[in-house]
Amino acid sequence: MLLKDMKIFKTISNELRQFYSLSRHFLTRLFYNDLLKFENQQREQQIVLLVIFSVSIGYISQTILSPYLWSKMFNLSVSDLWLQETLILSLNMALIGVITISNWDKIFLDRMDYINLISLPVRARVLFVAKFFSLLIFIVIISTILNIFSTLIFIFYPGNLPNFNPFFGGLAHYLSNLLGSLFVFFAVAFIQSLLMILFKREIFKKVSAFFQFTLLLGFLSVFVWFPMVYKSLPSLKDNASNFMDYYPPLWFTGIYNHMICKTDPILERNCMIGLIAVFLLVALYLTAVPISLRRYLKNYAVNQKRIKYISLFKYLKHIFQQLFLKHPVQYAIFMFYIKTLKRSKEHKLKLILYLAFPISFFISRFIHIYIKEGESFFWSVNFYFVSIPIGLYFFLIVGLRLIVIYPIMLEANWIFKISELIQIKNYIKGFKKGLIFSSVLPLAIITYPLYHYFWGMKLAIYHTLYCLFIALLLLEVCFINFRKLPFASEYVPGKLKLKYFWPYLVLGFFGYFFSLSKLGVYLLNNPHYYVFFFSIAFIMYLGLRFYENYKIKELHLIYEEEPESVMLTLGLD
Amino acid sequence: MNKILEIRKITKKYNNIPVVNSISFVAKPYEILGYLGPNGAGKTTTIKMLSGLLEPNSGQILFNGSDIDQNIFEYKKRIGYIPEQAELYSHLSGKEYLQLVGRLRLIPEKILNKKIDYLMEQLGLSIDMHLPISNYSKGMRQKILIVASLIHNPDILLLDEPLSGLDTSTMLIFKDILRQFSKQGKIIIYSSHILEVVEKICDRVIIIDKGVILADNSVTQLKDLMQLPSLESIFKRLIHYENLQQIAENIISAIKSKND
Repeated sequence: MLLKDMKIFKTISNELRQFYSLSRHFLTRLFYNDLLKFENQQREQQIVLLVIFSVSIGYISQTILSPYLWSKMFNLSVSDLWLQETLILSLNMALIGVITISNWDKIFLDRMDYINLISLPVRARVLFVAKFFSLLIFIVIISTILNIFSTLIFIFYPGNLPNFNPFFGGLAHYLSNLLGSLFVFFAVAFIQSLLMILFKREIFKKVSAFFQFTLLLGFLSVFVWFPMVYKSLPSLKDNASNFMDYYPPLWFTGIYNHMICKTDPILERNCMIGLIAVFLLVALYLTAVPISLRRYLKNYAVNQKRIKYISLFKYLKHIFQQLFLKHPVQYAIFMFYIKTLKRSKEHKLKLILYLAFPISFFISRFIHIYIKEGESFFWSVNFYFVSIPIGLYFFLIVGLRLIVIYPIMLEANWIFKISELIQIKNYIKGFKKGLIFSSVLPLAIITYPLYHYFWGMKLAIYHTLYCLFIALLLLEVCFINFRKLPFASEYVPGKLKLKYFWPYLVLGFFGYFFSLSKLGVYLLNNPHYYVFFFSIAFIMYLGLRFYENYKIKELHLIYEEEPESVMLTLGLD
Repeated sequence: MNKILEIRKITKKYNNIPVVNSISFVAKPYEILGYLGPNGAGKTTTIKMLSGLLEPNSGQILFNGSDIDQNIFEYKKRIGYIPEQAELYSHLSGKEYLQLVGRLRLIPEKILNKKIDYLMEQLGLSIDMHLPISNYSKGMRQKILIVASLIHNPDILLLDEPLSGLDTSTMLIFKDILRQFSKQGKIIIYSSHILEVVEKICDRVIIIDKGVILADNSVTQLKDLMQLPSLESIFKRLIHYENLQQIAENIISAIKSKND
């Protein structure tokens, strides 16, 4: 009996040791996200980023709660705090959403975990519990850091309100935000587990990537459209709108309100919804973890089916290549650019970060105007509607200019070095064709139907061509003197000197955006002037191309960045 | 006319320390030149300089009498290179990677695709050719490298541990390919640790250590000159590896003591 007890004790003690090591391992991995390459992620950078977020939330809290310092003057009471709490909760939950999305592949045990851990003498229960525990700790740490300043503000600013206990006030704020964070995290995990159950492995990969980027866009868009919702919240609550039940941050505002005053029946109901939602999502996560394991074991060592090319697609591809990419080097670089942009999560996520704000801004403005003014607003030519592609092209091209300099796998670029058999002109041409066919044209194809619907074919074609010309000119300007291969050359951080040049970039954007949007409106109202515009734009484009061809004197592509001169003078070599 | 690759006193330094120190030799057609040496001897650095990936600090590399720097593009068109480590773009599939290489090497599209399909089928990769390289085993990656280095029918083959990770049948096929290429008059420089393979397939051997050439002769002549029975014993003598057995015993005793 004693021997048996000893054995059980030893097993438990061994499992606890394994649990501790695994939890630490999983937790550390969570702090290295998919957004950046491992070697680019320094702990100091992460701390700085989290502190910036935390201070920002604290600052916003301070701004929106400042009237509570003079609560009598503004006739404020404890029951009014829900509005400010909802704002902070929305921002906090959106940030947690972004952080969760950047850890998308680590929510469940991933391929690396299985490869490395499944051969070790670790019980599945230890693995799962350690994973779950590490996720909980991760959320607690992140949520605590994000809310540390705002909690202090929520303790002291409403401190002089009657019937307000500062300790409970702070605790309520902290807990409601923590639960909100857990909700977002496990809601994302739930979506992923649903996809895992619904789709086969090969399709899952693609669908999962689509959801990852869509959700990221969704979370980032909160920062753009929330101010509009914030203004309307009091009236929505007074009218007992359904929105109050369906907007998740309000569920956790319910928990906050329940802890500080329990006065509002709508928020009391939301409090229950919030608690049930968190409980349900955690339970669903725990159910989905074994499914992920089963899925891995089932698919392990199973070869994927060979992709069958549809002959029509193959034929069209051949025609396209014959028309635009006859030179093999151009074709090679074009395909490398397209495939890398399509498959590299890091580069796609970076591009999404550049595009999220303008896309959310234009969509939210579109919806706002549509609701306020009605459909008729868009039938006429107006600045807002005309400017959409002009603004988007700017962010798209500048975003692409910034992401192509990050290499996907620097150690593999020897193949380009060893196969560089001709001068660089064709490499750059192939790359620019990649930019045009994968990014510039698709945006025109997306926006054209919108204009066609509201303005008819003639004006829609004019405006789409107008925007295309602008995009081509912008592309030539942004990539002037570009002598690297996309995703294949070395990148030295700080080379772009964005911290010094951002005011010029901002000024440049506003100058570009307003002048060309106004010109767009003018041309749409006076279509006979298009001929002048297209002629001038065409001459400018040819001029830029001629200048570029004239300037290409280098024999070789640039694979290694020249270090900054200040680095050369250190004399360390 | 037979073309030769001549290396004249090339030196490569890292942090002022010479890794390759004034090495000179000639690689001729119709022979497979074995390039041997222990870890850190400078083999990979030499091969990288010959492939144009690294520039020597001093010395010259001449192909057919003229410096390769004078017309590097023409030189690169003629070389096939297999690096020591199979660093391939893992987000591309095997076929996509070979298409990239073939297009960069200016092979017409139709010929390229036919070649890739045929070569992959011959090497048993046709089922996996649409999978990302990240899913490939070491041997499969090595096969991709082999195809990538041969697809343009090069005149000079620079091979750095080309057999690592390959299965026995592919190894035999590859050795046969090398012999046939050699008969066709191609220049082959074969850098390796595996002495048995070098002894079997190479007509001539260069042994280097600490960036300096210690021996340059055919295996038979080296055996006769040093009066030793095998390439392994020659290698041990030149690199001063006589106490290998003692090192092995030391390692075993260290492992044992940790466990007890």
